[in-house]
Amino acid sequence: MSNTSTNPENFNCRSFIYRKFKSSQVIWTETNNYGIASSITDPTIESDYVQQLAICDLSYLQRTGFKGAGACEWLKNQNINIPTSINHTLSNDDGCLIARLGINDILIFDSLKNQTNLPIKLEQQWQYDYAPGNKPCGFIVPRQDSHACFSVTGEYAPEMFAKLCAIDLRVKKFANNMIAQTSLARLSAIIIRRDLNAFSNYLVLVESASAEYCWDCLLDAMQEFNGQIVGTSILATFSK
Amino acid sequence: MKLMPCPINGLRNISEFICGGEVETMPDPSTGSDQEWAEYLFIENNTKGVVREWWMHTPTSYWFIAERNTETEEIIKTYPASDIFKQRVDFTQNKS
Amino acid sequence: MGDNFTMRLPKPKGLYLDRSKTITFVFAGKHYQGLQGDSIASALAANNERLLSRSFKYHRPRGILTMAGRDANTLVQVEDEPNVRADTYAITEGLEVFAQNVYGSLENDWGRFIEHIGRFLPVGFYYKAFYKPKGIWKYWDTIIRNFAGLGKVDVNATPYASDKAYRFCDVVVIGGGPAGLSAALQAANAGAEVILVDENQLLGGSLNYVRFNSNNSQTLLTREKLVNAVTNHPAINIYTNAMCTGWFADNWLAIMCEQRMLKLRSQVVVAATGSIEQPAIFRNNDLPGVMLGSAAQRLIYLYGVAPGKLAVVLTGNDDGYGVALDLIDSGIEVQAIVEMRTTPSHSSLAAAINAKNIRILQGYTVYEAIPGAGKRSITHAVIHQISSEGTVNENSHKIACDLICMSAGYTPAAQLLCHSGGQLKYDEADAILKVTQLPAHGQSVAAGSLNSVFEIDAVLADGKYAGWLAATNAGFPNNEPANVPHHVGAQGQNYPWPIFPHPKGRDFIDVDEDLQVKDIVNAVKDGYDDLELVKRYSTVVMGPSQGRQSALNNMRLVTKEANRSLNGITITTQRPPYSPEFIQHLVGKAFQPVKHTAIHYRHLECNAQMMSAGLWLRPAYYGNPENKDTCIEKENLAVRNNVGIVDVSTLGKLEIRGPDAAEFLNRMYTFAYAKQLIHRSRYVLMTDSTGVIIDDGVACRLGEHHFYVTATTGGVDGVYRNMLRWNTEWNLNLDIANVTAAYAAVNLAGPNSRDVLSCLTDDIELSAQQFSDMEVRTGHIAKIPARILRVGFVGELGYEIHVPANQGEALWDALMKTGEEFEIRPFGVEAQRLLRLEKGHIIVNQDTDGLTIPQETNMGWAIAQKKPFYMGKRAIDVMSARSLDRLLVGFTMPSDAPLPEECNLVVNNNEITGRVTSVAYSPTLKSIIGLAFVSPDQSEIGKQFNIKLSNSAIVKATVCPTPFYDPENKRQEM
Repeated sequence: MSNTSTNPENFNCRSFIYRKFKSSQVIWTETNNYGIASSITDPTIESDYVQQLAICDLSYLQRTGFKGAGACEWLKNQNINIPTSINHTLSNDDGCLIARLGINDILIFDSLKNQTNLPIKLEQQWQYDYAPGNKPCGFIVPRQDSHACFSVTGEYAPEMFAKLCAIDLRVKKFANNMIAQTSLARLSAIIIRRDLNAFSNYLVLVESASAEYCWDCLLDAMQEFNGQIVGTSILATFSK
Repeated sequence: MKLMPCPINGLRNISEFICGGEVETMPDPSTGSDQEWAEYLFIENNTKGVVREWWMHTPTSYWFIAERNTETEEIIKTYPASDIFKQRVDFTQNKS
Repeated sequence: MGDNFTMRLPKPKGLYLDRSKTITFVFAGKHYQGLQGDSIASALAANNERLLSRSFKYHRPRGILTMAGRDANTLVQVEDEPNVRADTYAITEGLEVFAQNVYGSLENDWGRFIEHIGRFLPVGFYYKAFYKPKGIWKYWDTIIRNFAGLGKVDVNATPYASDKAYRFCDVVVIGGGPAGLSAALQAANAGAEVILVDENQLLGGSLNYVRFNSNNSQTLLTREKLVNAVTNHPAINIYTNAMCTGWFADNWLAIMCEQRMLKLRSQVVVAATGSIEQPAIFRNNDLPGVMLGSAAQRLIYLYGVAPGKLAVVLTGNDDGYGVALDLIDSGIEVQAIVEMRTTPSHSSLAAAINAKNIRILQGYTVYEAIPGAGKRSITHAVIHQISSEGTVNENSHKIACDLICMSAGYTPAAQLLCHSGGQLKYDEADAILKVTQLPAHGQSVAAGSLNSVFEIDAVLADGKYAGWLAATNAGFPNNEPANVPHHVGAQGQNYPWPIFPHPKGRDFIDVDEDLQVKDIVNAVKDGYDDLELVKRYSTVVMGPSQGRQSALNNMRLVTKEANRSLNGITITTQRPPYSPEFIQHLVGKAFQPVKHTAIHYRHLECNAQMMSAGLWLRPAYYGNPENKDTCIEKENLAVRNNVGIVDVSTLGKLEIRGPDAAEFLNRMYTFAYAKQLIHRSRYVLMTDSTGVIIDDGVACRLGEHHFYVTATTGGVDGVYRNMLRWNTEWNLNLDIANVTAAYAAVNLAGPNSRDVLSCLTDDIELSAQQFSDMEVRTGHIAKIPARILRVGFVGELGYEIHVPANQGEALWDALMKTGEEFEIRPFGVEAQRLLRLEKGHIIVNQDTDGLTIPQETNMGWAIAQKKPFYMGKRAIDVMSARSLDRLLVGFTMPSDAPLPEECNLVVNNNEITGRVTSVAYSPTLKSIIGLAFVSPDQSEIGKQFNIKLSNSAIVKATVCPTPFYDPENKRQEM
């Protein structure tokens, strides 16, 4: 599928920041009707970057949300593991990530490694059929489009975040699978620690309209630690 | 920067919150007197001491209740609004 | 130029120095050499140069006073940076240092003449001299401002990028002296994560320069042991050269590092900030050569520089004897120890002095220092026997010296403590200010000399105890240290009255502000007998050192002059910052979020001129600014006659879903929604509980229990918050979601819009019969899932198309490509505003203000009278029963009339009766049209009213019905 001449504008779905990838070395591939920068430079170099400090645009990553009374119950009935406490994540058996943002507010990501299309399947299964006596089943929230999704990876990530965010995200204080819903460079953000193999990884979700602002803030803060932009395939390589 | 304990998100800088004012009971809009209604709208108690207020955690848009001492600036406790607003509220037509 | 390096002391003195590296720098136009590690002042002192600056008011020569960066005497300009503290600022190769506040040269400053007219500049003289007669201040202002202020700001300086960073710990220890070091160690050993902050380049604090025993080797050993243990501890994070400048609520601290500001949150704070040595007051106590005992010790130990050659030590405590020993060890001849106390000291330090046969004058004080040439040095100390508190008798000696060291006592460095609610009170028994209240509701501890503990073993034990308490309170239980040794506390540390006014004055209380004893006395006589008042009247303690050397003596003097008891008196309010901060560090990156729609770059490619709408950027119009009006006109006409497209992604968008959705809208909005048909939209108008219009939009009913509601760009966040807040109270069965960012939206408008759209959809029937005005459809446009609303905001056939945000650009591309053959034209906010004005639609917050109720804007039609409740109902009912004060009306003016501006006033005779809220020239109607608030008696159709233009000219406008354009709405219903 890999095709260096693929243009992200050939597809209807576009990340808000696809213009940020200008290097001629970028390899574009198609996923979910998005053209995505799957690699920016040599994989061995990218592999070093992700262990030090790197950022990756995962806005294409399939995701959806379910919210409102009955949302958790309904998802459980679809065999989705729901984290017992708010602001925690769980992995579903198929590698999908289930994040609990509120009492009845669930965010579901497809697996980074193997596309399962679980989020889309759930959206298709969901049906609102209200009748007195029926159990409520929550509502779909369009998380794919409401938020941009970035991945910040590597040893220096917590120190870099400390320049933008007032939450202590150091690995010893912010355990794997924890979620912080907070302010990042004065934007409301959802930060999820989701380690890749042995190194720390944080998913950052911000309102899609602010994607470029947030990306620029992160890049600027990363400069001090020589942070780099990497493609999506290196992350898939490292994810479980 | 003060800290505010959000019942869901834990201790956070107060800059992550907005205050929604004191918890007040709305007089019945169809039976309350004009005087009562005007006081509800315009008279602030400005209590020196413990007040019960609406606060919202902005990143999650979560409203909760905080009890706060306006004199010492101490936040005494915070809890979900459902602890005090348990019933569905309905309005009925003015009979007159 | 002084004799080069003559004052440099051999090793091991000079803890900061790297003697292998010589550094050349320039001060006041002359070249000097220093060593790596020298500060500007220490390098100059090594060259026997004592003059650093001229005083603020009298331009008196000033030199080293504290050597700790705590006084204004050492303020210099370093390249483009003003007000640098020369006693702590490290020299670098080629550094250029300039004198400040000098006219001519530092050595021969002609500004010093001011001292001779000093008697015409009494305390409070600004208030007395320059405000009468009325208006005269304007004249004096320029002259005074030329004299006032220190240093020069280089407006062309290139800023460097600086960002802030957050830090977190369990226990922060402020101050790396003996107390701080042992506190940090104890807390870290208990398992707490510790941050240790010290303003100096080396940890150790007083251990680095104070002689605690006659044999100093013990102190150095203690220092080495502690510093090593702390430095090697994995749980202690050390920040040196870092200044804690503020302590705010809930242990939130500002730490200024060299390149950035840290915002630190700690569970517990250990304040071990030490204490500040205090001067004695005598004539010429401000001249170069008169310094604190600790300043001399810092010069010797830290910088390896002899502070003078021939010394007199003035003391009121035992520490003066330590200073004398250090001077002697450095080869300085100590002429005499002038001991203010009447009874001899029994300390080991005093014994060591006695053993050296140094003359001790018991019960004496320095009464005057005799200046050398140009007052740039001193030549003698005149000492007198003390007869009673603050007075002396005729028994006197004149002792030759070039150095007077003062050891009169201490004041706690409690500024930070006070920022956060700590309190100090004067303890008359010990003649010292003591910490009487700690801040942070028990989550703070004070240790060491700040805590009135001075004896070294007691300080170490006190630190250890503080570390234990801090760790325990931070949730790390550990064993309480075995019995804190009994200590003598502050007894004997402070000489109670080291103030000896001289009949000829120049006995400075505050060297920053050149205030002498008589100035303070006169301030009290003028009736300002409270510390806070004296401060504001005389400016005492308001200078750069913020009272570090003056607050204590000033407090003593004022209280005595006002005939009050000193006991229990507190100091003036302390406010952050403790030390100057770079504004750049405070600013940091100044994060300013910006929102882009999915189509942002397409607008730029079409040469859009962008404007801010809240955080969003929106196209104002497309084209060059010099043709702005033509561009807007063309965009307007494209919509009226052909087809235009506008990006409306910034509209607020809310999903209201659930069985109570309609009921909820009934409560939040004025209109009625229960019977609204599915696939139809209805106007929504939101009022607050006082009946004031706060937002509007449309509600699309997509299902029995599903409404998709739009809100204004700027209002949606507030609307969403409001909705959540009320439903938390009402517990209705529904869910509210803000999906603003999830949908991109465009409005395709104009008579040809249907033709364009029909090329792009095969699942939506577009004919007027199948899809009429105010209806809503879901389907696909260019294969993109879409919600399509027929709305008439601009008054033509139009389709508002909402699609997932990530596909917004693709939608735009498809519409623009298909529209090409129709000559589709993108239009911006300016044209959109004009188009809606032609239709007479209001924009909330432009055509309404913080008091506008629906009736004033003729929107009674949007209010459902029969509902039992909606937000604002009660208030609107009350106000509807009253007569209105104003009405929003449409008006026209001839096309050749001068164009009023928004907010120009509507006047009637000399009364203001309203204002213009929207106004523009309409190319479609070929006249000026607008909306304005007018009084009810001016509102009749056909009547004329007056508008006062910005240039005060009056023009006439005629009230006319709205909509101005297509009043029967035929165009949008096509």
